[in-house]
Amino acid sequence: MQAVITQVQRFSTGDGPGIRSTVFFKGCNLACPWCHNPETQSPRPEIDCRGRQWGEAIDLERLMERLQEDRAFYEASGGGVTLSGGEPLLQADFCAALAEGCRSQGISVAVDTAGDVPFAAFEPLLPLVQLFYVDLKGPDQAAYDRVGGSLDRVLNNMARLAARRAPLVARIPIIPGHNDAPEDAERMAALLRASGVERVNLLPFHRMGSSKYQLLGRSYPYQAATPPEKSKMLALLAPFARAGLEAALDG
Amino acid sequence: MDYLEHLRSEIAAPPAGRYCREALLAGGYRAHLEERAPIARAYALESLLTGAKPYLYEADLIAGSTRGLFCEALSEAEDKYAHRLVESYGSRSFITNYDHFAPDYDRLVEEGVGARLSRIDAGLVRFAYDPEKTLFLQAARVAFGAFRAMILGYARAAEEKGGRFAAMSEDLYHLADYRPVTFRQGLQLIWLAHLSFVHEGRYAMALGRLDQILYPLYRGDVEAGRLSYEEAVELLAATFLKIGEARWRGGDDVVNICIGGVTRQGADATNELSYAVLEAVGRCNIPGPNLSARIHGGTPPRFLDACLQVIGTGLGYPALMNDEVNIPALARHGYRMEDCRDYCMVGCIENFLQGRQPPWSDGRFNAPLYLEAVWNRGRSLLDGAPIGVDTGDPEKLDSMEKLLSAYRTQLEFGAAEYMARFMNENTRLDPVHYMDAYLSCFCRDCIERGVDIHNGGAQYPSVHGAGCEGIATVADSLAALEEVVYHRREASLSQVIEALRANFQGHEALQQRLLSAPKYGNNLDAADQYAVWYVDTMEGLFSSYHTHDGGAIYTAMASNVQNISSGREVAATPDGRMAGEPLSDAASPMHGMDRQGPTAVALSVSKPDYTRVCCGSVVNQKFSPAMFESPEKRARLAALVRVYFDRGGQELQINAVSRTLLMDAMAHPERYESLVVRVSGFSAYFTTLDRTVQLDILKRTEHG
Repeated sequence: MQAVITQVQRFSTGDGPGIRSTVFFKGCNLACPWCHNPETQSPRPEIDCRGRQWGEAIDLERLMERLQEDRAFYEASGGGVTLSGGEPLLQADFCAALAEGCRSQGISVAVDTAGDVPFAAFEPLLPLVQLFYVDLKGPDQAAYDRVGGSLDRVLNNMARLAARRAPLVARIPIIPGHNDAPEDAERMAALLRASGVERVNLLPFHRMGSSKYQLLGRSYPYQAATPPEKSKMLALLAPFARAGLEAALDG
Repeated sequence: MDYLEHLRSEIAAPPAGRYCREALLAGGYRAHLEERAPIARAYALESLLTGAKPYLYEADLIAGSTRGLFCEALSEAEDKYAHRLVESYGSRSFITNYDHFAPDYDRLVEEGVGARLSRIDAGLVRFAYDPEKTLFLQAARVAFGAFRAMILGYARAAEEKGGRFAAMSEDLYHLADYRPVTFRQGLQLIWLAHLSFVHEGRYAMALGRLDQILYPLYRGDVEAGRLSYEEAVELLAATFLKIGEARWRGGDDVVNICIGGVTRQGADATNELSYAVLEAVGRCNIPGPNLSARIHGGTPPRFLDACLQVIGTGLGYPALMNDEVNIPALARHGYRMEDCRDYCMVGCIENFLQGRQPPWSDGRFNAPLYLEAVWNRGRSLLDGAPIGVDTGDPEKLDSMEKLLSAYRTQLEFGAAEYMARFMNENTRLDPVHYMDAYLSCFCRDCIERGVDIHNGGAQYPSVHGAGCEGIATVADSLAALEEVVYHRREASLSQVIEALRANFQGHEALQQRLLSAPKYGNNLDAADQYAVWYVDTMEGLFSSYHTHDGGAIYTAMASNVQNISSGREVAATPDGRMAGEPLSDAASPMHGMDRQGPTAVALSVSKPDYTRVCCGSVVNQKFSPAMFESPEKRARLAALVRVYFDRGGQELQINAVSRTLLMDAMAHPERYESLVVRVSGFSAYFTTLDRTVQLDILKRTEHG
């Protein structure tokens, strides 16, 4: 069994508790214009202007070997493996097999998904995954139209995960001009609350991915956008807390 | 302004006048020209310790400053005369075991000055029949008596100042004869003894396990309600800050202080003073106090976190030392187990048995250089100098085994030459003329035996550390040859050698191929196995030699910043490195070649058996300051350290300064005068470093 990934990032510290190795799956069904991992959007391997190839097909066994190298660090820190991307759940069978492999090795697994996939992709992961990060990209379908996704499907999946008592954290990237108004936060808090979500993390927009656009010969629509101030992020947290959600800043 | 900031500003003002160390020494020699050199030397010390003005800062909490060694009345002619006379008497130096020593402050604090003088007097009676021992003990009596006089000089100075200084004066009068009974007295005694060594011109004198030595006094004070934790931190900081006085004389001292670890019985030794020392050193924010934190399996998580918090300020220390490696490494040499457990560091990272062995010495062994001796029949590729031996036509090295065997032959020759040169230097001085009676007073058994520290008086013999350079350059070179030449047969050894001779000019494709071979630091056995080989081979070579008094030759996987200068002597290497470029730094992977992050580095670097590296090693890692911000983030670093140490890593030192900041500091040094960074086994002000060293620090891969 094979998957297409761009890389395994070891000592990854932004994708869940402890020391983690994050597997970046290649291919995404959304096209967020602010995306910081543009190399993971296309499912096909790409060659950048320096001649580096982004994307490799990797065997499950080989990937497991690589992930197991840092097992002692996962155990010592309460960490594990995070499946991210791209949209990992577009390669759902592989994710399930990988999660199963990790479980058999006693390695904790987190999944970082945009959640705009059939619930069937989540189903086999439920007994295997210790933490689901599911993105909420905006407060309404208009916001989702800008990334080419379905708000209903995302919320529906969150609700079903919550109903099954799956460990779930909603993640909201705070994007200037897209979802960063105070009323956006109010509406997103209400949506999450209605879906039974209890925890949410807000992630500030950043431009760390801009050089990758250059390498791939693409223009970055958010080149000129500035990351939100910490004070603004803190202010945006308030509506979520008021709605009774456990809300925190991340990233 | 609090005491510490007041003291900082007082120290910042450079003293007026000329440095009068030689003039004071010369005064002692002039008054004792008829005496034998050891006695004359002791009187010169007396003249120095009593002639230096006992200077007190307004904000002083603990007395003792080198400011008293600056004299405005001293003319250039007087100074020049004094230098000539003092140079005639001569002095030991680093390579003849002068400094890099941790005195027996533990015993000094237990017995006090009076008891030590009595022991010398008893020896003079006991050994009256033996002229050589009598000469040594007479010199010791004068020298240690000079230390007592120095204490009394400070006592009188504090008495004259009066007011707040009355208590200090009482402490000092007490210390001139009796053992310290409070924490402040204990610290005062150690500081004045340290100052006496600094006055002599000794460098890198360690304070040793301060948290263990002073803990009984600290606990007594706290239980009696005489002292709070905060007051102890203040006293320690007000003491350490004066290590920074070294800047007046043009450089920073490296005063190692060791905290944490296990007790002589093997239990966890971390105590409240360990935290107090850590906090005090953090508050000082200067490069001189080189803090080492000993970590073992039972080290409390709170202590490791406290260490990471200080590291996170960007100071670069404490360096983290693994007891689980260092204690077995020392035990291999047959020292008593309790003494092994009681080790500390001198200088940068060198393991030392406090007050039980003569001062440290070490040197640099340029191991990558001997690769080219294999390629070029014993000669340098750069200038043809006969650096090695003829191991035959390299074309005949048709297997990895033969290559390793030829390289080992070159290294054997190199080690023999290194040892011959070291022994020549180390034993150049006449042991009687150059006896070190004063230092002997601070080393166990010298007084009891009536024998100088360099002549068999010390409990254990002298040791020497061979600093083996370029472990990653060697491992990566051997791994690249194995893959490209012997395994895949993509190029012949002759082709590679031709490319090395040409410094890869016209062989760029082959260079790229060599660069893409497995590299040390990525948890790839193909490369890491040669780091294991290197450590075992170097220890095997050097362990067959001994020092003049029968002590061990340790190896070190550390080389300060000499990887840069040594690299200039080395032609292109098969790892893809160009001629003259720096070698890999200490025990770390080659700059920029560790591409899998810190976990892979930890896995690779812990593969060699570091219990065979008794001197110590240096592994530099750089993390962005953000990694230290919260307890959760520090917990990840703590887990990284724990796993690395659990697997047999020996040492880890961390710079928490971002690349952006360092680049800005290079562009605008005037804005970063107080920026302290970890260089190798020590920290330094970044803007005072050579540009090549700055670039090297910048190139260390940053994680997180």
